Amino acid sequence: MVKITLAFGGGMEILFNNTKEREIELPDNVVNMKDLIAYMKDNLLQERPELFVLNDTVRPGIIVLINNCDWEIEGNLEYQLENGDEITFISTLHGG
Amino acid sequence: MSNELNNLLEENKNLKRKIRELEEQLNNQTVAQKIKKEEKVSNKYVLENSNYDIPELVKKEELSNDEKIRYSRQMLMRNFDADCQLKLANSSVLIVGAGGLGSTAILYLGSAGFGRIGIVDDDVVEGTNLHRQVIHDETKIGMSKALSAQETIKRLNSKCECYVYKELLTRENAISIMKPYDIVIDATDNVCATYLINDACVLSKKVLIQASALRMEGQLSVFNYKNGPCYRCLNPVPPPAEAIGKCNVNGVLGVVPGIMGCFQALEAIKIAAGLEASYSQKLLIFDGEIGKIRIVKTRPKQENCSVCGKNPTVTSLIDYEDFCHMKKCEIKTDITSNNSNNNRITCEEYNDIMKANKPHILIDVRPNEAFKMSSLPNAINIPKLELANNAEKIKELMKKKAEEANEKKVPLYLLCRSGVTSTNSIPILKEHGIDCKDIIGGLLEWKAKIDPNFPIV
Ligand SMILES: [Zn+2]
Repeated sequence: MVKITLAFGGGMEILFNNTKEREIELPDNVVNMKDLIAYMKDNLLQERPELFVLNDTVRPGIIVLINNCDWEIEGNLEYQLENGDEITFISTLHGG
Repeated sequence: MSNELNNLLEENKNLKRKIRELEEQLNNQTVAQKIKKEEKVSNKYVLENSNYDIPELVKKEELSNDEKIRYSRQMLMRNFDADCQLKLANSSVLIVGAGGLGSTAILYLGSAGFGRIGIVDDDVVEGTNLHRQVIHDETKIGMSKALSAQETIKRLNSKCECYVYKELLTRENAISIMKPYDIVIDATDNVCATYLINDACVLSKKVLIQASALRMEGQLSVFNYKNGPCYRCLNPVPPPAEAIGKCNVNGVLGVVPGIMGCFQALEAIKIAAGLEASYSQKLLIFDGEIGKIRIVKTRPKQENCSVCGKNPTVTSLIDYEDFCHMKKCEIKTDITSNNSNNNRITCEEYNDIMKANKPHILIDVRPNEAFKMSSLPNAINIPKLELANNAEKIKELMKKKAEEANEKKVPLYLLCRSGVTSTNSIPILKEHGIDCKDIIGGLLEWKAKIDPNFPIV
């Protein structure tokens, strides 16, 4: 059983039960980031899926981090999730 | 007796009127003084009418004795010597935006010993800015933010040349305004400006220090620095317009943009002094609510970036409102507010409904925090994001209200701050089979037309 931490920020937490950090246990069929995003959309997202996903990936304007590293460096949707990973979704901010 | 009383009452009334008139005169005078004050400073340091040529910064060979004393405390540092301070004196930095981020950035850059700073802002100071835009104060309300910031800097450091541009940075003027500066700071509050500034910096080879802040969170990165990535490398596609939060809707804790502006000033000072920037190809993510700072490694410069990549498609500045889908949503709200669409009612119409006690339901779709600050007496609060989840509850409410009123159905009205969110909420409820209308212009219009004392800005 793979256990990971999900972290949210920049307003993304509003879509996920207003929690900024939580641990989840992944079902066996969730092995990579693509699976995780689909799983989150179907099971964890509370409202407005269009504010989270677009065409099977996250919508533009969401910073995705795998263990505090830009997911683009880590393989994007193909990244294989490991026990203890921290996956972060933070919306880009526009205010000042 | 009663005659005397009447006379006194009459006299009292007249005196009160006189006081009002005098107060008004005084008020007009301060406004006139303010305008005069603005005119006084409009000298060669205010650039306008598309004429952005300024003389080249006179490069110094060494610091004056005054400068050595003034900046002695920072020159005492092991890794920041007289040479670094001299480099600052020979450097220039442009700050786009004299708001929350710009306020602290400008204050520290003005004090640090930069030879020249430029400030771009087309906005005027408002009372609601003062909790975070600390470079301005109560005496500056109504004044241009750029001029107000310039005045503060003049008092703070008369040796710092401070040029101001009281206009919006646009695709037409961006390159010319940035041209004389070494470093650019993006202290704006919107996504269109951020893409515009990024592209202009790439095209004119300027280092960009970009930051943003909302609620208790902030983000910052240095772009276009020593072959590092640009903003587009990280964000090739702008977010959908409706996913973007704004300070006047979502709120912002004053000190948070201040903190991010300080980080921007720090990076600018290090870069100008010839020290290494810390946040190139890195992103600083600050969350003041949980006290967490993440420093995150980002992707490097992207070969396929549309502005800084190998085969760029953006080779001159473009229409950024169009690029960020901002036009579309503005036009959409324009159309709905201009025609007497049967999805909408006016504030006057709603006022009549309220006064006549006609049975109905009013849902305020603003965030809960805004609702708690001020709301109409009979409104219930369901923020736009939570409408879909509460569809069943809303249906039940309408049913109950209809039963109470002995009617088949009661109307449902949606209300927000400006009428944009409420309009955009209608389709969400329609999707769940709920009929509703919204109130044109929202609470701002309510304040303008019905209740001038309604506490909203
Ligand atoms: Zn780029």
